[in-house]
Amino acid sequence: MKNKNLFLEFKKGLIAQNPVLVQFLGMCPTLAVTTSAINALTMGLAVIFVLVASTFFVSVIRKIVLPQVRIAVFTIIIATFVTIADLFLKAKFPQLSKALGPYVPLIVVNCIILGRCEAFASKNSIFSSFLDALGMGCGFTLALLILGSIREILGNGSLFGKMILPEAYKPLIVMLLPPGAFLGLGVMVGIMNLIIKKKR
Amino acid sequence: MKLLFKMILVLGITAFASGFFLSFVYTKTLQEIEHNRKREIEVSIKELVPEGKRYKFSQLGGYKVYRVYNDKDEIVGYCILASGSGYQGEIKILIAIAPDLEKLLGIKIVENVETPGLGGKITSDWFVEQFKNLKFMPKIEYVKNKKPVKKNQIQAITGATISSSSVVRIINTAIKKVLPALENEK
Repeated sequence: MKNKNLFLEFKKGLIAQNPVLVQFLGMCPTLAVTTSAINALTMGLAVIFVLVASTFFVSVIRKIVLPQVRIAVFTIIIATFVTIADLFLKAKFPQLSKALGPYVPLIVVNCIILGRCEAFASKNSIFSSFLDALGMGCGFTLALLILGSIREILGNGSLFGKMILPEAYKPLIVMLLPPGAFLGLGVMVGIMNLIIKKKR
Repeated sequence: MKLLFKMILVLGITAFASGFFLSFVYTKTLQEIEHNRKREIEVSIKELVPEGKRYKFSQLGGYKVYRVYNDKDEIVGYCILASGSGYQGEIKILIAIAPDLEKLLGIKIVENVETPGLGGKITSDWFVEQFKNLKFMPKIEYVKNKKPVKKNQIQAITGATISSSSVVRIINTAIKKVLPALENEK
């Protein structure tokens, strides 16, 4: 029974409480960096790293930290890991870091992370916080990856930089522009609502 | 009073730990980041001036200029790193000039944030190829919707005139600033 509960902590982030498609958190990177599948995946992985690392620390220190200064402490912890992720990408994957531009440092203000720290990690044990963060991070990555793939396929005819549609296909450039992000996200949210409705 | 002191202590310790940790990661990655930056320029120079074996860097007229030498120590080209505003943001271009100071060896768009699918095409092969062996005296010009006739003309991208003209303008400005200094050297 206990194992099942722990698994639920992980699973809820994927569909039932998906941060992007259900909670509508972290919309800025969702709309901005999903011009290609690889950008979306990198962003997702960076968020998973920051989310897991900072909720872990928040959960560890949850009993020491004073409630009056908790938000400031959480923010420092998050900012530390975001900077690490940014430096790491710059050193190891300069091309990807360039493509993501300012959106990696902006993970600091991604409300999914502060949200999970405040709402979950500061009240729960280390292990369940870890699972919760991993689930939320994977849900975020999944949503971004799907949106990024849709936009790259329709807007450029390729997926992960490989051409998959025939030459004759005329790319829908609008999918790569900001309106394409809204269109894609809207359709995804619609489908998500259908799925959730059916489950009930 | 006791609470206040505790608050300061908690925040101070967190900030200190974070700063300590970050400075550690920063020094670890600094070298690699610098190395990446340098290598990117090196690779671009190699692409533009294939016979170049080594280069020497200097500041000329406010621009970064790389003199490219072959293995016999003769100058085989000059590369200028220029930047300026495009349609949506900064465009950074590496311009390679032939040693006779009359034509371009080629250009490479190093950085741009132009509209994907429209202005973003300034990085496409056919657009960049046009700058190969292009005369830049008295200045580079662009034409719209027709084939260029003169040796100092290129064809602008349909639907992205501003991006195309920005590239031309950035190159012209850079050459105008750097060329006199290079001519004096000769």
